[in-house]
Amino acid sequence: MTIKHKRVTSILGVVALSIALTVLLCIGLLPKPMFHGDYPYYPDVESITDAADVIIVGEVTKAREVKNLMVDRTPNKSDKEATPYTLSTIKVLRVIKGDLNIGDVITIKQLGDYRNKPEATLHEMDGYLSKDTEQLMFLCEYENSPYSPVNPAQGIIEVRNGVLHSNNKYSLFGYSTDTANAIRTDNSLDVAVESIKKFTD
Amino acid sequence: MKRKLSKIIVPMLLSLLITSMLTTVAFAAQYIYYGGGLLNPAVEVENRLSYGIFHDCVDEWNSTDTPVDITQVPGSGHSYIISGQWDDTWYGMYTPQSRQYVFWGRAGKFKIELNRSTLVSESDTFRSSVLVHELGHAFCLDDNPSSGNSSIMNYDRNRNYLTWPTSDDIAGVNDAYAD
Ligand SMILES: [Zn+2]
Repeated sequence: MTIKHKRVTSILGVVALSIALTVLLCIGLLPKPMFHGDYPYYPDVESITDAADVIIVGEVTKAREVKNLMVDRTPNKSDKEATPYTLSTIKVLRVIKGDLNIGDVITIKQLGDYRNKPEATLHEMDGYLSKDTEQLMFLCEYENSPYSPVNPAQGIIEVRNGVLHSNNKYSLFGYSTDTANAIRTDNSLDVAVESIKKFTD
Repeated sequence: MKRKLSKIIVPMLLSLLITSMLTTVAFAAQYIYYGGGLLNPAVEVENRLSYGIFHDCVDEWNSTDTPVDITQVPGSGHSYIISGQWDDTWYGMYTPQSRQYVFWGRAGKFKIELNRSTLVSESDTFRSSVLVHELGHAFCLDDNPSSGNSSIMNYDRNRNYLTWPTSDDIAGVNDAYAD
């Protein structure tokens, strides 16, 4: 091989490597297909408490299992399709409202395949549950389907060392733009539970 | 030894530089609009609703000063709006179909679903607010525009009142379909 040949080969190599990297990057960054749902919005603690069948603090023991669930209950419909959901297993640590007991293990469903076809709000706020985290949850109950949060933006709030944290500006608990604010006592779980319990009877 | 090292590092840096340039070009045109809206805002739609709100909601969009033109058609295979019952908490859902580049790009048609399980005790005004919102996605509007102004696309809009596209929504649609 002449020196000239060598140079051409290495330039070609660099270009080929660049194109390969670009393709990989583009696949990773392409806008994903997403679910766009219009969900209920709760302006205050009273309305979100009324809307939830069950309010608990739970520990996520298993997370990010994707499954197609048949949630279409329309009577006399022949072409029903299953919907992808991301499932988590929750161990109940504290019951604030509803017919559950401490130690119960429940499954909750979050709309979308978190990796390939997420729900837009959950994707934006990084809202799919992670294993070994503690969460305050406002849930709706179904006879033949796992629990659903009342909505993606407000239904689940993370608890870290007794303090609530949410990435969503619509959250009624634990959202703050500066971190100093986030450790103020009014974001504590105990204060939140007190304010919820005012409306549970 | 030093020469050998630079022989590896220089091509690597060069390749990273080219990669970042190519990626920037590839994405410059990508994030301008909500990706799942219709390619063509003149659209034929089937009405499969059990609620009598279709015509009023379609009129809300057709009467705007935009290229939006929704025509009701019978049969199957077009865009459609349907009501049903689902075991979940959403009121309405927009799904783009027949997308330009298979998995992304604008939609050739759409499906809009209204959930009777969550809308059962709501008024027709409320249901219309949901349907007019979902149609906003079909014309390239995203949820919760950052302006903070009144919009049919806001989660926290008053659904018992706002059933029409606001001036911001109209401007957004005209932006999306300007050449
Ligand atoms: Zn929406």
